[in-house]
Amino acid sequence: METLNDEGQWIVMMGFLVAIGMFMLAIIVSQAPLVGQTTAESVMEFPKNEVQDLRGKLVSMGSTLSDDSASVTLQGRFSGDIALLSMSRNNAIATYSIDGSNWKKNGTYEDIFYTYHQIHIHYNNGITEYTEDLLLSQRNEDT
Amino acid sequence: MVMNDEGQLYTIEGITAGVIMLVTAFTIFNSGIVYTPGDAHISDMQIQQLGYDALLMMDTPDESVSLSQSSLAEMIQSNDGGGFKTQFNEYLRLHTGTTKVLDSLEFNATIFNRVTNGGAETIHSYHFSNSTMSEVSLLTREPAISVTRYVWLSDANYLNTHLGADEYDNDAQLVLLEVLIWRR
Repeated sequence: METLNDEGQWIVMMGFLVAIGMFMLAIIVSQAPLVGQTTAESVMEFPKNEVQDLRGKLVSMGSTLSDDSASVTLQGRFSGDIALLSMSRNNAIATYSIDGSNWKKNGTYEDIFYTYHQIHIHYNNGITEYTEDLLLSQRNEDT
Repeated sequence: MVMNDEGQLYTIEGITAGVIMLVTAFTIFNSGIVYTPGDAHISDMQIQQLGYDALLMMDTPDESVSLSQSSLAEMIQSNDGGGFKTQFNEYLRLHTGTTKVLDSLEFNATIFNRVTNGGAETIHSYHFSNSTMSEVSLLTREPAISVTRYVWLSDANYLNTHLGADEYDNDAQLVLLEVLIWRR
């Protein structure tokens, strides 16, 4: 049997190692589109803007309310619009209550300076469930 | 003791064969999923955020009094689709000049409102505004992204008169503005 030429084995092995290294780096590079995709999808799936929109509208409305029948009508309009439009267009259940059900004159909590109206927001689009209790403070009138 | 250094190439060959088999298996199991740039949704995400931000800017009232009218609400109340088109296009096109993507956005805006007239609660919708459609858009376009915004209308009298009581309640109300944005 002819003797195997065993010279230059280090060179062969180093070349081999470099090839494996390049292969590993290629795998890492190939993950880049996947990372971009999952990040973008989770950003789009999360209803951040819807919740912020809803929250802003409720704070805006809540701070105008007073203790009369017009404000009860206003709250009925708000909750009906939010519930039905969210359900039909954003595929989400969006409900809220203020001070239990409707705005109360003396709020849910009170201290010597402020009356606090508790706004409870519930949002669920099947993927993200969001619940918040928000205290809207209102300066007490000086007596 | 002298180390036996025979057969090293055979060892390397064996390792090489092993690695080739692993690579083959890896390739086979990964070949079921193909990612193309269009699938990556990165530009979709950016367009969505851009749309929400533009609507937020338009729906911000000039004064800080609660439930005061925003310019967007005034446009909807007077059914001013042209005004919306001008303003929304301007916001969509605000950029630093480093990209051409923003100059190729088109949109279609629809309004959804709840009608209680006649006892039953229903949702009505009507076309509000759209961008000027280019010829390119008739041939091809990217999938559209939907952005929505609740808009507080303090006076729906004009809409009630013009669209009819069956289409619009004559109350202060929230309507949902839904804008589809796409890249042509």
